[in-house]
Amino acid sequence: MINDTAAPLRAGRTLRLSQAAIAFYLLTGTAWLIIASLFWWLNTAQAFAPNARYAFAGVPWLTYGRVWPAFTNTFVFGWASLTGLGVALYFVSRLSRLSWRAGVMILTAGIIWNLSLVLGLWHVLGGGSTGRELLEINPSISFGLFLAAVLIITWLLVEFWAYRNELRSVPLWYLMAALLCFIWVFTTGQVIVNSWHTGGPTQPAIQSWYVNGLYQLWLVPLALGAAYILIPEGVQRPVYSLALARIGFWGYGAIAVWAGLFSFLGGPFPAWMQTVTIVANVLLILPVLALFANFHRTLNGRYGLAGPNLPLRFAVTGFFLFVAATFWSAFVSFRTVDFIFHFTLGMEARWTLLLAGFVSFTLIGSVYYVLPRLLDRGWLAPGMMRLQFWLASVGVGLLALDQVVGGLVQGYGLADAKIEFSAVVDIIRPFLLVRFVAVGMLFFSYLLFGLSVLLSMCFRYSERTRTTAEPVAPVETPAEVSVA
Amino acid sequence: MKRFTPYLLGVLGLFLLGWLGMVYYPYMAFAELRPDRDSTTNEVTPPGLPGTAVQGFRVYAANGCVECHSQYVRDKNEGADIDRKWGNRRTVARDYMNDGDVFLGSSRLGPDLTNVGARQKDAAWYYKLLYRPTSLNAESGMPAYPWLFIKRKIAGQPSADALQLAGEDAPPPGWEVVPNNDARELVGYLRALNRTYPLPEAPEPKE
Ligand code: HEC
Repeated sequence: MINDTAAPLRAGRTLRLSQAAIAFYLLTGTAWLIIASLFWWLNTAQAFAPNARYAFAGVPWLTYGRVWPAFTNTFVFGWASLTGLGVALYFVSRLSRLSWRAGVMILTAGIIWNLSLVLGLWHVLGGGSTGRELLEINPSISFGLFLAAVLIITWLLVEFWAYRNELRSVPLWYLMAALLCFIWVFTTGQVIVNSWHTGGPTQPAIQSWYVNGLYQLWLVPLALGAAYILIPEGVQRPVYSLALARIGFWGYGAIAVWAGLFSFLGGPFPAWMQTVTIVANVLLILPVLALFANFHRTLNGRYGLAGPNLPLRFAVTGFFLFVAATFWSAFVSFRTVDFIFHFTLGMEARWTLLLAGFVSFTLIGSVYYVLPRLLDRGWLAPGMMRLQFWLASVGVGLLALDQVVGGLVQGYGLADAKIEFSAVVDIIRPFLLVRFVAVGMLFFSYLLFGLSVLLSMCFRYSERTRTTAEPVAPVETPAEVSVA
Repeated sequence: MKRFTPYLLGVLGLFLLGWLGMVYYPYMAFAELRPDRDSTTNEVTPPGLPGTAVQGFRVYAANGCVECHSQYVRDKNEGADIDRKWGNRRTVARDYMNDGDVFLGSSRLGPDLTNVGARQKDAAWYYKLLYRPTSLNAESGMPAYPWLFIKRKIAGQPSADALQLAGEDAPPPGWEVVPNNDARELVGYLRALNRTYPLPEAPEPKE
């Protein structure tokens, strides 16, 4: 354990480079979250009042259509992916007893990633967007992101193999699969869509699969891996059933790769591809139910522990949002429902529940869990952290509700050709206003999150500060023990 | 499930299957698309964008018009697109075969633009919309794009393509607002958006 990158740092031991590198991922990721949500908030204001001065109307680099990709790219690549990589490196190292010798390389990759993203953001705001979802950053700049991802993940696999490692625990299945899928999905987007510049109807088909892959094959498995650590450890119990865990894992993987055409249902694609997407979205309910049963049985009777234990609280709430997201995706992919919700605010509800909900909640919980152990720091303001939790929960709940109801109104408006289009625009204004309020709550929640992280950086660990946020003393993960 | 290699093969295998179906298949299948030639009129469809319009999609991409505007028409039983006169038939893969970038879009905060060139032919109308959407609809949900225009002092004769603006939107006397090169290209692109030609696989629905 002594050489583990994930070994707790205690008085006298110096910070190793690989630990510093992971901390760098988590800290810059947190900074990106605040930047991303600021763009998001601005964007919701612009949707409500596109020509108002306070929404920066007439400022070219802050126009609606550039702020939106600035938000999605910083959110997905800055916050979720960067923090996710840091969390994955930490947990994989701990679960497989690996110590990253390539600290320099991890740090370099993290720096390249951040620089490329800054440059890409600047380029998109300056009017260089390609207009392709989550590939808006100019291909020659986003090559930096690609390079960094390849560096990290290849190295990880090499180390993993070199040590003849075994997959000792459930979370490790998810984390390794997430990293593998990430490279594959990212290559597909970067090479086929960007480098070969595939045009024609092929482009949106592949791109939609790519976007969905980033969510469902990279960020979701990653967050599930983290949940499989935070939840069993938080309640001091092994994972309830290994069989259920297997069903959840393989079932999810086998189905999720087929769910790619989600945002273009009804579009100019062969009917079988659309049908497959619909069926996949509905079938996903099954492995998610297996996951749910497993987590629920693990937590049963000890849900109360999620009160004082913040990482656990975030993980459990996040997981419930994931279940909600799965049911919602299945529901809206039915043709008759899609008829109404397609092209409306309702389509965003899935994003809200999945990305702002599940993935972000789990990552925030992971940061709250990892940082003190990594850097020997304590959390100073548990009250603020609890406020952060409530702001995020109410924000996500309100946002999703608003998008569903607003989407319903907008959808019925659009479906009736007798209603003028401009009347539909008017009718959804109140929902756009509520959306602005909800995203504002999220912005402040993330701001408090950043503040907690910053505060904890300034003070050293002590028993007192540790216990305020997380009463349970760190022990061996029960999940590991059960599978070994 | 302890050993790494079988696990790895399992993950990669499952992934490969989905990838072949959802990525490789469209990649190969859509490459086979050929234009349709009408046997009587000898007309080739889809005609593809004229040279003047191909630059415009860059401006469309850069300013993120795709975040509010879609570019596909769904079948009559999948939505009210045809009833809204956004198209006379559904669009199919072949409609997009000549396009470099395809902006299908997934939000309709603004109307669908698949056939906007068939609805609105007047360049001056587009310029006015882009410069001051509120001059056409006071409650417009569309943002203004003033940086696509030049406001300048009239030297000699006013320019032929100067915008006809009234009231608050009008420039001071002796000044005029003219579209810049980006605006011309963008409007060229928008006016060329017209997929009302016939395709055998997507007949016009009968009432
Ligand atoms: C914030 C969302 C939004 C963005 C971004 C946006 N539009 Fe619009 N657009 C609208 C709305 C809403 C309308 C409906 C008319 C109105 O409300 O004034 C519209 C109408 C239009 C129309 C008229 C369509 C018709 O059938 O009458 C055209 C053309 C158009 N927009 C082009 C563009 C272009 C080009 C861009 C990018 C430079 C763009 N729009 C960006 C929201 C948007």
